[in-house]
Amino acid sequence: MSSTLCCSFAKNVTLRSSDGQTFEVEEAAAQVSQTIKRMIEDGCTGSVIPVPNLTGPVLALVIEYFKKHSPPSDGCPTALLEMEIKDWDAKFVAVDNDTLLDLTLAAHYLEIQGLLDLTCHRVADILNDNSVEKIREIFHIKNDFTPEEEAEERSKIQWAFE
Amino acid sequence: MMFSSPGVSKPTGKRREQRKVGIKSLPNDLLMEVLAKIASASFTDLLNIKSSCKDFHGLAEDDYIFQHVSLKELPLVWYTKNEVSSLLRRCKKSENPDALFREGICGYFSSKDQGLGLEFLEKASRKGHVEASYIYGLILICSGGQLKQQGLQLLSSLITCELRGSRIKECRRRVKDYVRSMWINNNIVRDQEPYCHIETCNNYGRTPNSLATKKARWHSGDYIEDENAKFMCCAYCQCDHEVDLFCNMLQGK
Repeated sequence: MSSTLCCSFAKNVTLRSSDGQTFEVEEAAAQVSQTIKRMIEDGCTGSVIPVPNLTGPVLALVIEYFKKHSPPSDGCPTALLEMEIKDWDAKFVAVDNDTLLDLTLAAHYLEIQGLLDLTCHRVADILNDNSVEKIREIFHIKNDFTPEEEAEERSKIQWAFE
Repeated sequence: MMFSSPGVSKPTGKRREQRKVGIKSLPNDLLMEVLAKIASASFTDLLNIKSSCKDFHGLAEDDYIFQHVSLKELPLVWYTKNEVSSLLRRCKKSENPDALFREGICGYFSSKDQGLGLEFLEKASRKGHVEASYIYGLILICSGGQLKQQGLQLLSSLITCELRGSRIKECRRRVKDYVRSMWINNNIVRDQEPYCHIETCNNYGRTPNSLATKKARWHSGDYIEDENAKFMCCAYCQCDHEVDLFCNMLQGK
């Protein structure tokens, strides 16, 4: 009885990824994304909302984020809840680098400011405290300086490391 | 609208190829956001990422990065290095809160133009710079009158929101490091009236004299660990304590 009651209140939407996978999610949760929120408000959504920039596995992760961050039904979030969400967030972005970049792009496309801050922070954290060589290795950055340019650049910034 | 043409998305088969692009698959505004976050954590980390490739080298020259870069690693007084002064000039021009704070604290305590120093501190405080807000609050409190009230509000909300736990000690330490590295020409002096304003607070209604005995015990160091729990009652009492600590430090006590 209570479950039917719950479903009659919560309106669901279906999201479809670039590779055709579909996911059902509560409308309120999906509106964590400003892009999806606008589409729903403008009424330009049919029965299925296409999300062509995201593959199925990435969309599945984003939906997990939606569910955790959908506004609580009983008013203000408590401090305890906020702490729990913060912990959850930290675990959520502790993924391999490729997935992290996918999530960053997804947050950008779907305009999810909280997730974008979180992923950019994580990328920055990974890069902080590393040598130039290590930085290149971590995110596959090609060194496009000539040896002369590189030597000049190093001598220019040497003072900061003394 | 990005959702209007579902056919645009790349087939999964091409994903592996795309992988090699790595971090460069992010658009420039996101890369800029990442660089700004790196910069705000550490200036030397920014220099490392900047030297990794030409794209990052170019992005790191943007004003946005200079607004965010942390200058914590640089000592306050550093006359000899041209690189440092040109970096600081650039940061100041971009209204980097840390640069404004440095300018402000030097200006207020060392130079003849205290007003200008205070303006810099106020500007940095408005941009959310914690140490600048701390000092600015202390100065306002010691200015008396209406400003005192404004300062108490600023500092007490800073203590309750931003400077919880060990962060207040970190803030005091940074302020102390800066102050100790300057030539102090201008002191600030507090009035002796206790700031306590809450009737339920243990210190409410105490005369300056009776509070002085209690304060002597706060400052003796015995109570440092649980000072907040036992002896600091209301937020204004905590401000009282901070003003004492700061004025004593300024006078080299």
